[in-house]
Amino acid sequence: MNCEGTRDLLPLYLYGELTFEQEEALHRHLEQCPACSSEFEKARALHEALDQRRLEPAPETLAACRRELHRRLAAERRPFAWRFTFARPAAWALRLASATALAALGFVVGRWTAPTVDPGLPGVPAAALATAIRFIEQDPDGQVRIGIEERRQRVLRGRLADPAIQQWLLAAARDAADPALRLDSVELLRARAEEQSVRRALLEAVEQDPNPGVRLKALEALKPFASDPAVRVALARVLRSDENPGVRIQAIDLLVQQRRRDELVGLLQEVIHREENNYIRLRCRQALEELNASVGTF
Amino acid sequence: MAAEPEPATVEEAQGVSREEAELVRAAQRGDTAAFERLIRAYDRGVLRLALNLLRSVEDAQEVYQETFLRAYRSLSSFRADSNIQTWLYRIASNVCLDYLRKRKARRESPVSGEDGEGVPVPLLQVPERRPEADPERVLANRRLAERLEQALAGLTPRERMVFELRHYHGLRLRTIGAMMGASEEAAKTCLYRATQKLRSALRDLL
Ligand SMILES: [Zn+2]
Repeated sequence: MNCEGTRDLLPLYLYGELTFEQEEALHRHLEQCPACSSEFEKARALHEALDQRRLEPAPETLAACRRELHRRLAAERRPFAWRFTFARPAAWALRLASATALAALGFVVGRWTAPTVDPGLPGVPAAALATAIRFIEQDPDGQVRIGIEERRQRVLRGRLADPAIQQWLLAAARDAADPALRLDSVELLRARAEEQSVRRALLEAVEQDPNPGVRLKALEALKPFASDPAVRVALARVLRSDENPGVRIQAIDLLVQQRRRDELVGLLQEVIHREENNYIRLRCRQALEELNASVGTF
Repeated sequence: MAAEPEPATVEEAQGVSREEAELVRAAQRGDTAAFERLIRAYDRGVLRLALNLLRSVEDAQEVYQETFLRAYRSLSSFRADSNIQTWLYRIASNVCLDYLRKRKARRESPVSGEDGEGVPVPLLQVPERRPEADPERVLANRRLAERLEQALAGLTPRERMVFELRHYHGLRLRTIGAMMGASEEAAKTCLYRATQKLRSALRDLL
């Protein structure tokens, strides 16, 4: 391969989009051509600079987006919901207007005290229009019963060292549906990572949380424990199989901090051959060189 | 690296899982809660795509709403054998492209990354070189960051999109091509053009 051909391939090489043969030819040329090697370094510097400008949405922004979408989706299906739940809205509203009628409506659980009134439909609490209504029945004596699912908020307060607070945080780190909540609990648990139960939860998050932001946060929390055998096993698994390159990068950086030859050589040789991220391949190569090991044959 | 082309992500290989297929059916019947559950695995990615492309939190939030409302309204056209992530990203890409084109038409410069409340994630944490340790480096980095934004603003919306999807979302060119209704080869050419433009715009700095 000549210089021109090599330079044409450099950007695609950095994206792992070359065929095996193209990549081999490129390596051979780079090894014996200083000019192209320096071009390669420049291309990689640009690539890395571009990595640095990556923005990650703040968890609160995502949470706000979800709330807003929830509201808009409820508005999307409002005509349908209205027809379905209240056959004669006008009549219903009229009955609501009279105090006796209100008393006759045996609300199982209500949220009438909630001040949130949707401007689109005056008089009806927004919550009732979303997903909170569970059933509507009429008793033989004419009384209407509407079942509304109640959600009550309770605030727990305590120090991080408080076992009850910690139990809640551990549960939230594992099970909260909202990744922003999982992220917040992992962030707080970080300060207690020397405790076994906390470290177990962090390891679980590293390997199992569906959200890469949460996995990254948990990896960060485990940084001071990079020599713990359980942590190293998890890091190796992450490096092998996490789908997110940012998470894999964090894992390899932590792993190679400790130069454990017996543990690392095989793993790095395995990863270098199937990893598609160039930074990780580079880091593998570097670490293997530092350990005086070969890149290995495939 | 294997010679056999491998699927880029697990999702690409699997199409729609059984659980997802059930959520799709429920959502198609108008169950918005099912729809919200369905998009949970992908909505952060869509927000990130919009944020990185538009460099503005407000615009990214609008793209988020527009994308998922469009998705919800056009659920009936979603085929059971297609990939939900690719489908959502395709809608998001179209919405983002509209934004980029509108912005180009207004000749408005994109908002700088530092203004957003988004948190820049240092993907490459090489411990040996900590830029904040050296004030000259901080300045050099800031200058480079500004020039990068200028250079990126010089790309066409389509080049921008292909670059974004490949560089920050790790999608393979094959997938990106399919998403944008083009071949892998076309996506490759587009990415190549984008990187060449960036290189020549930043030649003096690198
Ligand atoms: Zn050469």
